Amino acid sequence: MSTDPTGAQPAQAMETPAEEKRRTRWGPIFWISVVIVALFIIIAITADWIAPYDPFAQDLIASSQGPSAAHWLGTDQLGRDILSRLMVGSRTGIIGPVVVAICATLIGTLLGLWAGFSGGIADSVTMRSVDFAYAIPPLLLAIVLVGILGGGYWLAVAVLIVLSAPADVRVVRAAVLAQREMPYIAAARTLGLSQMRIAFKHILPNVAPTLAANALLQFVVALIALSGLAFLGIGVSAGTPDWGLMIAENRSILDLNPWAVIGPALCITILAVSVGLMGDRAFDVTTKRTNER
Amino acid sequence: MSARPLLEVDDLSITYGSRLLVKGVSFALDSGESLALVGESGSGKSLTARAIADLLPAGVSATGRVLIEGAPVRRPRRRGRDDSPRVGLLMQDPFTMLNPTMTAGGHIAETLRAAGCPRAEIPAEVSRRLEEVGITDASVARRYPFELSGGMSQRVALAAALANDPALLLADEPTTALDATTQHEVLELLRRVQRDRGMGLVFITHDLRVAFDLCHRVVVMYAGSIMEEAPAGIMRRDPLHPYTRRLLESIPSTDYYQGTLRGIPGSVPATHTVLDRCPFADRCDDRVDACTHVVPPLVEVAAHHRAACIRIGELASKATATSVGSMRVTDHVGDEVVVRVRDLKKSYRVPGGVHPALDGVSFDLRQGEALGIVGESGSGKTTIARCLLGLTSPTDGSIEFASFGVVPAQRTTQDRRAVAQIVQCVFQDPYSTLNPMHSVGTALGEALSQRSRPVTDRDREVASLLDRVGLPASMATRRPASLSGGQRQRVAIARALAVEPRVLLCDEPVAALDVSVQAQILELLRDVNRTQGTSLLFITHDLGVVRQVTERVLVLYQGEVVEQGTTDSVLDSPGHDYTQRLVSTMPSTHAAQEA
Repeated sequence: MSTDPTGAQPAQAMETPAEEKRRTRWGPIFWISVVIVALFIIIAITADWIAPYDPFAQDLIASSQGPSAAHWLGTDQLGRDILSRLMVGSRTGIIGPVVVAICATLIGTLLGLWAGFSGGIADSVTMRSVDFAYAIPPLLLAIVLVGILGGGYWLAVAVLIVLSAPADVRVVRAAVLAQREMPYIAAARTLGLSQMRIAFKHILPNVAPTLAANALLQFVVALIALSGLAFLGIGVSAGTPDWGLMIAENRSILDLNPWAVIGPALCITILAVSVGLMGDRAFDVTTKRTNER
Repeated sequence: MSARPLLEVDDLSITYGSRLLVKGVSFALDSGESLALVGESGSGKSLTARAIADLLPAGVSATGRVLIEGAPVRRPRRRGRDDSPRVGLLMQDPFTMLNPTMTAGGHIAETLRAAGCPRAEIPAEVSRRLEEVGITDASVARRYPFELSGGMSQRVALAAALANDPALLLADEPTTALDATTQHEVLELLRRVQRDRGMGLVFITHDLRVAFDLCHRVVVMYAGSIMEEAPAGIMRRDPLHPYTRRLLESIPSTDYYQGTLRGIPGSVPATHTVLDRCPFADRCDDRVDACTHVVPPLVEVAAHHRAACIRIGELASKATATSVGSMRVTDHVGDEVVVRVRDLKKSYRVPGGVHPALDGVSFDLRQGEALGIVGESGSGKTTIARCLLGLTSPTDGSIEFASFGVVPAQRTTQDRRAVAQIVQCVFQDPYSTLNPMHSVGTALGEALSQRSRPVTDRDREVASLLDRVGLPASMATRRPASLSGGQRQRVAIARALAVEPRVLLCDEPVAALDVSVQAQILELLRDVNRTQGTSLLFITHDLGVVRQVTERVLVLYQGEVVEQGTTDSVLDSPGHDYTQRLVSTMPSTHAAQEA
């Protein structure tokens, strides 16, 4: 037989060294995403000092202008500086989704561990509630709830937490069910270790990488959902520098200063794509590394 | 053509990236002949077989020549252009080899069609092919793989592999996943089909006994190189290479009790690390200085007998290990009953009724005793273990532990802690018995925390536990991923011993280990049993293991104890039909045992 690796179909899951490296290395895309996300975070923290203008300062004489030396991205209808509003707007853009991702992961992890471990009625009730939550369109519920209760940004965040947690419950519960049958868990039970210890010391570390990757993806979903709500005028009060709201407010001056709409849209897209790529990559790499153990 | 062997493998090397996995392997096979490729994991035997079938995984490439009927082998890449020699392939796991969405008959029909069988004749041909592999029930053709038993699936897979009438059949551990009795049936079937068809057979196995029973010739591989090649009868009687000898000695005898079990210390090295030396040198008793810097050539030492060892001439005269049975030592067995099981029942709900996994099992385990539980898969032996450990609740019956009393069916956390100090377990799969996220030290420290006797110096206790199971103290900082299978199983034993249990329950602890490592682990367990007086409850399907480790044995069949007694009496003169069948199907290392 002559050597002919090119025509060979993989008969089993085995990768070439190059492929293996590509899957276990973080790679440039991941690091570029990290840099972009870090920039957004730095801007959000330092916006008060580095923004060239007060994001609320109106200048009706200079309204709806295109980009200029004074206003790099131009101004909106009330003459507010778009660049400054984008910088300050990164706060609501980041904080809400971060809170959603962290809280949903925490709640999901606890409920998932509990459901997976207890089994029986606890499991049924939890999982049917999860199914129920899945059946609700999150944006619609947020629109209705925030509309009725009149709550602001944080109510929208709370609604998203409640509706994002079920995804984590599922992930964690499935992991618990799979792990529960592993000999090392049987060994831990045979040692007489408490359920709590088994759950947190033996099972959780094995699902932590998946959870971390999942949390990043939830950030993306929450970012887009919150921006969408803001666009509809829900969650943030008029005039707040928020990317979603800016798109809505500045639609009418699209022909005068397109950057007033393109700017916030780009911010949402770039941040969402960067975090999403980080999450995908983190998931690939961590699961690959976990499988190798 | 007639002078030409059916299969020629000439200087076949296999590499993965820059690493060499198989190093210049050459052998030949005549048609109608069967050849066994024997080796432990990492020997390169499966890769060699895959190279023959041109089925190497992506990224793995081969150099050298593989000729079948004088032509290079190539998988047909396009329909209707199949003029390459025919090779059939049979793999280890029948369930993953068959497509779950295709019926048994479908698998065979598909290959028949590809081989050009007229459409109208296919149904008749399918049933004829199934008959050839011993399936007379015509309804099997319409069943899906998940509706078939393991043995039945393997028969269907064989029929499918034979459907295009291959000149050469490659069988990669086709019986390893099967029960002893089923394994025997499938081997008999393979032998018959091979003989009737006059087909060439390359049989890959880790089990020398099976190789001797089934094949004309045996090739022993180690770390990617051939160590020895000889006709089966000659190698069985007169193995020359030190590795072959030690491998044969490592197999726990089914026929008599061995005073010491000699494994081979260490583990198989990676091929690319031993390119300039004899790969076996590090583990060889007969090593001289030259062994570590000369590659021993594979030379003809007698007619049809090749071996790769520079000392073969001197060693040939050395007698093989004398195989005389030793007296059993039983003075460590006390009178106190540590575990008393009465009328234990466990049934599972299945579609359309209740399946009894255990149907009234009773036994006593005494202080220091080693009790074996033998049975095929589905006999309920693991269910007994799970009931004892509290991993599942028995449907009925009682389990009583010394100094604890009868355990309630539903155990509380206090019950669990108390029982944990009486019984601990070593599980089968060394690769999942340790939590991948915990270091060895963490795992042992955690187990120590469950011991009733207070732990004064944790690090020292961890070190002494590691020492007890023959591992260096430096192992404590390692993660399971960096340990070999045998090392992991040692850690698992140390973890169980940390609690100082009175009973060590072993659920097939060596079934997943290489033969040379098995003996080491068995010897360790025997030592724990004898010197610490820890009772062993040993669950296994391997009668050799039973013979070596246990004094008394229960034979479990379909959830019931069908026979029990001292190990020697049960194995020497089995009473029950099932036990007789089990004993008669065990392959033996000794020519004298041949029927």
